Amino acid sequence: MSKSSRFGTRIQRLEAIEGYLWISPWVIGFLVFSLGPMVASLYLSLTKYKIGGTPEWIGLANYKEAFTVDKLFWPSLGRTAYFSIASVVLGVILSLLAAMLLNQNMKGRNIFRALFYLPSLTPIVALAILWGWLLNPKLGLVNYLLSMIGIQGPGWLVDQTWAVPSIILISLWSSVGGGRMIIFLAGLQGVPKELHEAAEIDGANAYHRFRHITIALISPVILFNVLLGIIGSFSVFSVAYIATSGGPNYATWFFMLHLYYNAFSYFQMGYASALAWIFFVIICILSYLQIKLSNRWVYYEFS
Amino acid sequence: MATTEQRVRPGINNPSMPIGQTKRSPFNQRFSTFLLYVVTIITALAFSVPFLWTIASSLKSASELHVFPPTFWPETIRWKNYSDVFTLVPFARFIWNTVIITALAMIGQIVSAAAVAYGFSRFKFPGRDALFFLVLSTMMLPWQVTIVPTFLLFRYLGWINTFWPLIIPSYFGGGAFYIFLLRQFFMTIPRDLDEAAKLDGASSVRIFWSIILPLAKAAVATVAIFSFLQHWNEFIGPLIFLNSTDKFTLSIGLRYFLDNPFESDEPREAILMAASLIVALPPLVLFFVAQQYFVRGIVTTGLKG
Amino acid sequence: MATQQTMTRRSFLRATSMASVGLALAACAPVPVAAPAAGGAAAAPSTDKVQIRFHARIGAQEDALYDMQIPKFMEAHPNIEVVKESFPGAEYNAKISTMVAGGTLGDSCWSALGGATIQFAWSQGTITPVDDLVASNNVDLKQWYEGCLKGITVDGKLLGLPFKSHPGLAVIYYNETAIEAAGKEVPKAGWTQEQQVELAKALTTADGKQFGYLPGITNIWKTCVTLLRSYGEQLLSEDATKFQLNSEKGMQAVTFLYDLFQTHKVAPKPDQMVGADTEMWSNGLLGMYQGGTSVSVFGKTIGDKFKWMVAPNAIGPGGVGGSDYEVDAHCVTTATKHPNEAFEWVQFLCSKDSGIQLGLIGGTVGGRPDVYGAPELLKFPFRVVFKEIMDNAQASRITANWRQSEAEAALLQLMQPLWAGNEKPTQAFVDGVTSQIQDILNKPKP
Repeated sequence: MSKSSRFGTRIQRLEAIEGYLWISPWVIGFLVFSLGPMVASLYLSLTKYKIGGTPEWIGLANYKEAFTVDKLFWPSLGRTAYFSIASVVLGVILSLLAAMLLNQNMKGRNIFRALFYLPSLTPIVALAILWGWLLNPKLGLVNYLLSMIGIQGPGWLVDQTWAVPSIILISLWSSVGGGRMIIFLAGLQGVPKELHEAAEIDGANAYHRFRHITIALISPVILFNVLLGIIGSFSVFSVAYIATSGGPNYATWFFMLHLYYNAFSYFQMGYASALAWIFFVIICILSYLQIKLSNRWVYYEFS
Repeated sequence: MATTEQRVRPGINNPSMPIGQTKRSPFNQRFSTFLLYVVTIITALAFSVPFLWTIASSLKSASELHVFPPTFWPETIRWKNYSDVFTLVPFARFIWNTVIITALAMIGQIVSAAAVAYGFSRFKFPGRDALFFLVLSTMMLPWQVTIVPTFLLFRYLGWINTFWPLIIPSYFGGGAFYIFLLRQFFMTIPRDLDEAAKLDGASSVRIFWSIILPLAKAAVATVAIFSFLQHWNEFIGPLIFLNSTDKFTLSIGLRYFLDNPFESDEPREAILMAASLIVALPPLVLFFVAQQYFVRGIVTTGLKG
Repeated sequence: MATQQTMTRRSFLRATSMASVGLALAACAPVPVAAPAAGGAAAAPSTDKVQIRFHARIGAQEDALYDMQIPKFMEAHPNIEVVKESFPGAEYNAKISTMVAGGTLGDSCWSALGGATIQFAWSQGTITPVDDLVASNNVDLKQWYEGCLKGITVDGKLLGLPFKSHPGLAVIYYNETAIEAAGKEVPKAGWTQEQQVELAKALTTADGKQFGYLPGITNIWKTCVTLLRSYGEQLLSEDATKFQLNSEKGMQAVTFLYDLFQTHKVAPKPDQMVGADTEMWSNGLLGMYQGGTSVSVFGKTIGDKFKWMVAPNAIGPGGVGGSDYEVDAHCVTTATKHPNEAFEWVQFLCSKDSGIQLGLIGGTVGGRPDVYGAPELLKFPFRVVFKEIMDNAQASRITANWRQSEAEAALLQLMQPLWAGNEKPTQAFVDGVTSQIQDILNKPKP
């Protein structure tokens, strides 16, 4: 009796064992490849460590420095959040719209999908240079187009105010039609057309069908894209690293840039590890909240 | 609300009604089709103009790259930019290395991520949700600080300056991203299906292989595309784990073109654009191949037979 | 019975997982460099041939030199095999650092005074002093500029040999064609900053297509070093612990720079740049451009678009134009088991021949008087000016706590509002900048 209450019935036990077997590749991979580096970086975050030297235990001093001394810490976190919110909200909505557009029955759909997808294939170094040209305040295509409708374009990447919006624009261009859209497309395939048609017969209008059928059925996919979007956008690094080096006047000095410079340019790996763990905790909390909140709006076939 | 769907979904399966057919008036239908094309074409233009700019730039010579005011299409096309990509750096070698790494890693990633995602989506076991959150958490610690311990680990295994660090981890769980993605998709597959198979005595391997995977083709194709792109473009891993130039990959190769001009009139940035387009071509081809799996959906065909 | 079985299975699982985790953890423990190198590819068990792995940045000119010199060297030293491992410049430090941590470092490596790279390599335990090797090989140190050797001497120890060197941001490149068109005289050594501003005004066209003068603001630290010197002040105090930008003369220097952008409007503001500064120079959009000697490599891009030449920095109130020694070095690593062979290779790279070859490839040359004065190179008229500037170059100064790259990165960001016109060079503004840099200088040595 006590046995079945502790470990469940035989069938439940068998199911559990089978479940563990199925996830065992990940468990092994986690123990061998991920756990060690994670614990090591946690330990290093409590030390003064420059690569090549011996880590010197300093307790929570790195964390204290981050929160109280480091003048770049809070601003870099703040502008990362700004970037993240804007790029996730806009990115997820636009990707979903793009996927719905390309899910329609139309001629040349494959070509259109490819055209939408192309930008995400641009290698990051080329992306930085390409958009450096397009957003050039004097010669760039973007300001040229704006001038045709009578708008004097801003300085974009070299303007303190416009630098982050520029990076948002670049990241949207290279991501709206990319992975996120494909995930939505795949998700939309799971929405039976018959459902829509049945609802239409029942007199539901397009908005209601969208809201109550499409959104409901692909809500796990939306959750996925939002979560991944947050993790990805908080890690914004490459474009700012190559295109603006964090400038002008720290305008694009994102958190990950701050971390990278500390780790490899200023040789403060201990401090960088502390920054990483602060980042880790923030992202964990955000993800946890997302998943908790998602119980209210994500609909799984499962339950 | 959820109950509404449950009420509607399984019963409605009407193969006699062709997909996409609607019951609007012919004019309305034609107008909305027209609108659809207009919107799609405009959006496609917005996406592809910068890309066309890349193509045009890849054919420019040094003197045309920075003319004032800028021109879109080069006056004299410099095809040599494309051959320069291969003669200035061992680009063919980089392609070959990247192909090997990408192919091997992608296979491992798809297989193992699908298996693990199946475990997480279809079995109840103690600590499942906590473990799943642990899966997610491995995506959240920035590589910048785990790279040194990871390097030490691979050195301990004797894998430095080999392709193994870029391939083997893919076979063990295959990356949190893919596990998460596939789990989300598996969870949209009606559970009645595998329950029925289970009652017929099918093993979990069989259910995975003949029910889940075929129904999740779109998702697996998606993972294939992502996995390919990830390994194809990966920069930090190859940079840190490889030392010899003859083992380098494409993303490192691209960095060669970020430097000063090589020879008298070589348009560095144009060559970089040419190289980038060469790099972008294989994933584009893969995308076209994988596309067919998006077209036919997973749940659209009859479910319960 | 069944319970016991599960228990044993469970404990077995626990034991194995603990063991594997322990192993993984142990493998990730950071090791100080002193540990003997586990040898990566270096452990080639060659019997008589010694393999030297050397690390460098990827760079068109430098790679061209290495690829040219490696076969020559191996022919002269049949017992040594040199293997080049070069990495992208932006990630060079990250790459070397992980190799140091992992004990897979090669035998010799590139380093530089810039950003206190060599000081860090030293404090990190990447490189070893070469004093003993210099003595045992009877190397005559007079071959190199004394200022270069001083630049790479840290804690009284010489950390490598000068590979290439230049006198900092001490060169003004000018568009001779544009100056002729404006009917002006070309700059000559000894010209003054007033003359420079006048010339810049004459070279700035009303249509906004050509700007008179772009100072080296993308490397603002070095620009400030030379400019403050031209005002008779130093950016860093004698002991390199105090940042002196807000001194009286420092203020004048900052105002001079600000005026170029905002008052005289002869320098392109950030939103007037139509590409990287070197691109603007090589496309004839700048009348004058301040750079290091490496900018001469763009002569190839310029071709016959326009005639160009160089002059030393214009002389300021302090009576000089300002300069400082910039040195790249090649060093012997702590990891090498073959210091003599590695040093042999380092010497080869820092030889007169390599220095001249660098110049023939284009750009910055070896840090030696016999290279700067080599007839092969002096054939190029601009190199005559380079030699003059180099022969009179002022000593370099690195922040005492070696946090040079942190301070440089901060100064670059903090000064940017001036060029854009978002801030004015008021005492309060410059005081603010100075105190933020001073905070970095006050940190302990890493």
